[in-house]
Amino acid sequence: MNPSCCKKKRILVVEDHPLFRAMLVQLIDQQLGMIVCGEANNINDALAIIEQQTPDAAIIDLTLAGSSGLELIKDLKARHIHLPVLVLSMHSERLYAERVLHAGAKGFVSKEESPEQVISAIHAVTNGEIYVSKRISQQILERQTRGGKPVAATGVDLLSDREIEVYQLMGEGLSSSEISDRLRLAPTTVDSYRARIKVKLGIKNAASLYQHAARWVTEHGV
Amino acid sequence: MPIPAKKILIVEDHLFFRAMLVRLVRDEPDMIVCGQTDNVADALNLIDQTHPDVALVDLTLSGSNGLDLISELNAKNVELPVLVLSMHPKNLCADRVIRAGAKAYVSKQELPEAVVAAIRSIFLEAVPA
Repeated sequence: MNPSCCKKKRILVVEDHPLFRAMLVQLIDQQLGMIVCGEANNINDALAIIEQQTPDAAIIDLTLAGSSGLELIKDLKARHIHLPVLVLSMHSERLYAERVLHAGAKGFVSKEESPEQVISAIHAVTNGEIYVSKRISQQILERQTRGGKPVAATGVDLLSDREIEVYQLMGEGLSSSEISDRLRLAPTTVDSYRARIKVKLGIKNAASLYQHAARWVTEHGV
Repeated sequence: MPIPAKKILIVEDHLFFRAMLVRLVRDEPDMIVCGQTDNVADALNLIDQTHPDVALVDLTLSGSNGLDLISELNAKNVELPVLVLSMHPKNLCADRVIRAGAKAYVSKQELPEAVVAAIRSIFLEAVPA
């Protein structure tokens, strides 16, 4: 028997809600083939654990204290760290699944899925496969079979990853200065993101930008 | 004679999280999950059918919220202690939720043990020693 097949896969969990993280850790530790080797609620701690523990895979929430899981994935890519990442998120998979794959993640699984489905997503990613839901793989294949012909993007699909983050935080009612603190961006940078969002979404003023963002957050259950 | 396990209803709209809450409660020797749902209308039906001792209700539900459930219960004169769960820290949210009629509030910033303890403290308080 090959001993490597019996070795438990070591998983890093990066999630900023303590209750959710504890539940996820418990779920993973109950599985035969995997064990949690580290937990973090922010990017810096996650990077430190990745260097020290060299996990086999990481499960990362998109929303992290002080930053975003997408930034962590981009950091890993920039540092040439080849760690399979599965993104677990409450955010809309239609909007985010392809974005996280582009950023370098190996999978996206929604918090709308059952624990069993989340576990099979972790298995897939630790085995070197790509995991997305059937709906998303269908969406990607449909676009491919249209011969790469672009589909007219509308609404938030037009926004960059950073712009979506800013838009989302506005929708949660954060002021510009709170957003700049949260995302560690200069206030002028946040202002320029806001200006671009207004242009891209065809919104006239700040008040209706906040209204649109709030409605979007409500609809997408962030 | 052993005390019968208390019946807990779980109302949470994210499937993964709901399933994990069900596991958490089910693992306690003195609690059973008598029903689970993601919305207020089904919650009201389950309350009618199963007579829970405590309802654990997320503040944010798809299309409505946990406070709507509390006002429906009040309107129907149903006496069911509701423990509201949400991701906001306790200091930001607890007062508003308690004023709206919830029995207690627990934040998703807490650990699983705290959620279980919050549920237990409700039914222990409800039963005279």
